[in-house]
Amino acid sequence: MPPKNYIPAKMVVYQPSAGVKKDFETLLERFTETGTVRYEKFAEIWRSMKMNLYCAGRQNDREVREFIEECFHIASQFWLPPSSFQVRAGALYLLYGLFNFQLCMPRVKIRVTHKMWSDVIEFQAQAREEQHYDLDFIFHKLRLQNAFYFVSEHRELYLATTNFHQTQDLLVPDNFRDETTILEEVFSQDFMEQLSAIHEQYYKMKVALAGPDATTPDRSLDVMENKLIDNITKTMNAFKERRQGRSSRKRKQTEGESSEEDQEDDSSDNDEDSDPTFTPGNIINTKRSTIKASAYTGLAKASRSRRHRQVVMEEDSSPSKMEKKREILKESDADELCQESVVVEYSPKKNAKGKPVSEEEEEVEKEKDHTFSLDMPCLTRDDNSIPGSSADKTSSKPLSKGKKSKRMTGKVLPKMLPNLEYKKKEKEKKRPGQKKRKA
Amino acid sequence: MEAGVLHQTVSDVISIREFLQSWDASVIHDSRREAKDSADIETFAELMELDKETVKELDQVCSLDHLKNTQEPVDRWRILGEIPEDLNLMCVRFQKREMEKRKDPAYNMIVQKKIRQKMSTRMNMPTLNQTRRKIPPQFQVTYPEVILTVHIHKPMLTMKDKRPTLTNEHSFLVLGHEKLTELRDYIRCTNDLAIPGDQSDFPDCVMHNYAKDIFKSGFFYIEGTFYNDTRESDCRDYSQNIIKWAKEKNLGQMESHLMEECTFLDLKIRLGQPYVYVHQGDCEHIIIFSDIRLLSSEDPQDTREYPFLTFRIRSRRNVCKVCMTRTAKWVVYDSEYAPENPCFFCDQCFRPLHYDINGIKKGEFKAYKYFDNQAIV
Ligand SMILES: [Zn+2]
Ligand SMILES: [Zn+2]
Repeated sequence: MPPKNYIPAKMVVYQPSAGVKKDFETLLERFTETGTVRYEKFAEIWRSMKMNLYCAGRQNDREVREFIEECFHIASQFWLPPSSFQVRAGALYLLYGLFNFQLCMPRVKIRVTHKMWSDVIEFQAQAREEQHYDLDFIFHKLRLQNAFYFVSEHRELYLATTNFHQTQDLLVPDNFRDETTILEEVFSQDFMEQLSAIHEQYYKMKVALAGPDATTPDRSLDVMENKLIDNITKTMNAFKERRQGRSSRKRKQTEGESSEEDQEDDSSDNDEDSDPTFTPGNIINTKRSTIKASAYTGLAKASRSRRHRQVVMEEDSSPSKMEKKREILKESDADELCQESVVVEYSPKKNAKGKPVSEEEEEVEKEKDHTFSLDMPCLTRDDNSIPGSSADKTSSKPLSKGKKSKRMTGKVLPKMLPNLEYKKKEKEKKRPGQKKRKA
Repeated sequence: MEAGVLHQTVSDVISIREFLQSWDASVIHDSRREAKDSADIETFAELMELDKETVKELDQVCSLDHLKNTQEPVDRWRILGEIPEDLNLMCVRFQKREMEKRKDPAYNMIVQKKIRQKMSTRMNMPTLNQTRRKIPPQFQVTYPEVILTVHIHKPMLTMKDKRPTLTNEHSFLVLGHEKLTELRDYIRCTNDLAIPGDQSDFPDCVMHNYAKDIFKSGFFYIEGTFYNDTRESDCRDYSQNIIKWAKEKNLGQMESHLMEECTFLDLKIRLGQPYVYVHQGDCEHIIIFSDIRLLSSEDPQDTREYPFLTFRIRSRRNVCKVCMTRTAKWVVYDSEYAPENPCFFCDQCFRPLHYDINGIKKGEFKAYKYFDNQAIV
């Protein structure tokens, strides 16, 4: 039984709205920095971001329609109460722009429920009272354009819209509200227990494959990060702490009548939703030691409580039987890794503010790297001498370390180097052998 | 749509009439009015209670032109096809990478299938041309009006040996003021057109004894209530036995109403919840309502166009096993001229093979009329 919010990896394959929320937030942040609700200012930022081409690259009518529906869904969340007046103003302009620059005929409309509508009407009344005529004008213009569908639910509820949970909850803005996040729901105790049990089982199978006396898996199979669960827990704890810190700060802010957002904070904020294993390096460094203790104790117990459920499978995984299953296992290995790489890939990168393009490329490179390392096992199957095999189970191998570093800390490149070196060595090892054979 | 990956999300019970009544007059007015892209200064002046000069100024200030970088029109298909180099939006960059990935045909296929599946029910939306037609007043839709999206699935019966799967066969838009029977009459099912019995002795007889003319009963089961079709005197009330059975099993109170007296406005439904339509005794179709919204001026304004078909499954038709071109019209059992048993034949191939020059049946076989799913709607 998967937990309530379990999302099968298959569904992560293509997320039309990847990056959308980030864009909207950047736009709205910059808008709030101006300290005004004038349309002019909004237009300036919109132009500088070239938002009018937001549909670019969506291949066909179906795809662009789905994408725009998602965009409206995300944008309209900013238009609603937990957001400040200024953000809501920005969101209205945003919807105005999105609606009019959509490359879709007939136009996709913005879905509003009764609850949303009464909130919006209230907001517009306030805008009117404060004589923000541009807000009033644009709202009326959208209404005259019949830009709205008056609906009963935010989305169509049908079986085919399987990623309902995912897209709805993951993409709800978190900058402007302090309720529980989807993260906490997804990484529930139950989920972590299961993950931990599966991970352990997986590890054991790999050890079993390496031979009867082995204590660590064959290096060619040891591509999974070993402390995965611990790291997630740590990340979650860090996230929770930071969140609490922020929300209290935010409360102060609202008391002080300033509608400006804490910029520094926001920039590192929003990506956690989509990439839970990722935490900005600085935070985890400062808090690591304290969190570590709590994280380790909490989870070790939990995982044990689940282990009995796996017993049948474990018995089955005796080396002799596993011999036959190698082929299958290899496949499932690859599957699992692929799923992982998918997650990595579709999670928006942090610090996109700084130098977005280069980072994008960097990530692509890393991806290539990752897939390359996947191929390695086949080449080195016979090579059983694992560096540091005397170490205990939890020691991580170069490959996994390289992968870990890219996800867990901000400093990516330096830590990738050992990984590359490692591969070079592998190649060198192979080449002399070939030469010898030829000679 | 495998059952395994369903994340079924169901709404609370919604009274459709209450939904309609919850919207105030200004919204209803909005929904009825035709869309206007170009600003009408007077309308704005009235809406905003401002003088025309101010509105004119506002129109300038709030122009969409301020959101464009160049005044050249955007070439829609070009922008959709390729991404301009200097575009730095996150969403576009993700899409760029997605496009790279789609160069792998296998991946592309999965993605396209996903999108198709998700968006299929929304593609065949009415276009403006359809709505601008002159409509006799008695067929004009009346406002306020609700429009519901309903999906009809293939009968579970035909998949008896397999794991039950849901296959959406048709999707309709229905109006709140329509009777449930109007939807029933639009649900096309080949089982309604079955002609009972072996026809091999008299293949030329004109037969119109469709199953739907013989067995007319049927019901919808929605939120604990049976809606029985009793328009014909020989309709049976299927629900009686079920209600009795449910009572014995303590499954709770169930009600029964008349389908022909009930409009969609009278319903209380959950969106996303599977309900059932039963006809022909045991042909069960899952039906799901996915959306409720106010009717807008862009929807078809002619009541005769409803239930409005927005989606229809595209399945392969069964072709004649002899010529492999024409759609099958007969199912033949125990034929010695057939490559398989039972076998599909078109009319043109069936006759010469199974009857001699005088139209006399050759050999022992049974032939049943067959209606292909693709040929009936
Ligand atoms: Zn049927
Ligand atoms: Zn034929």
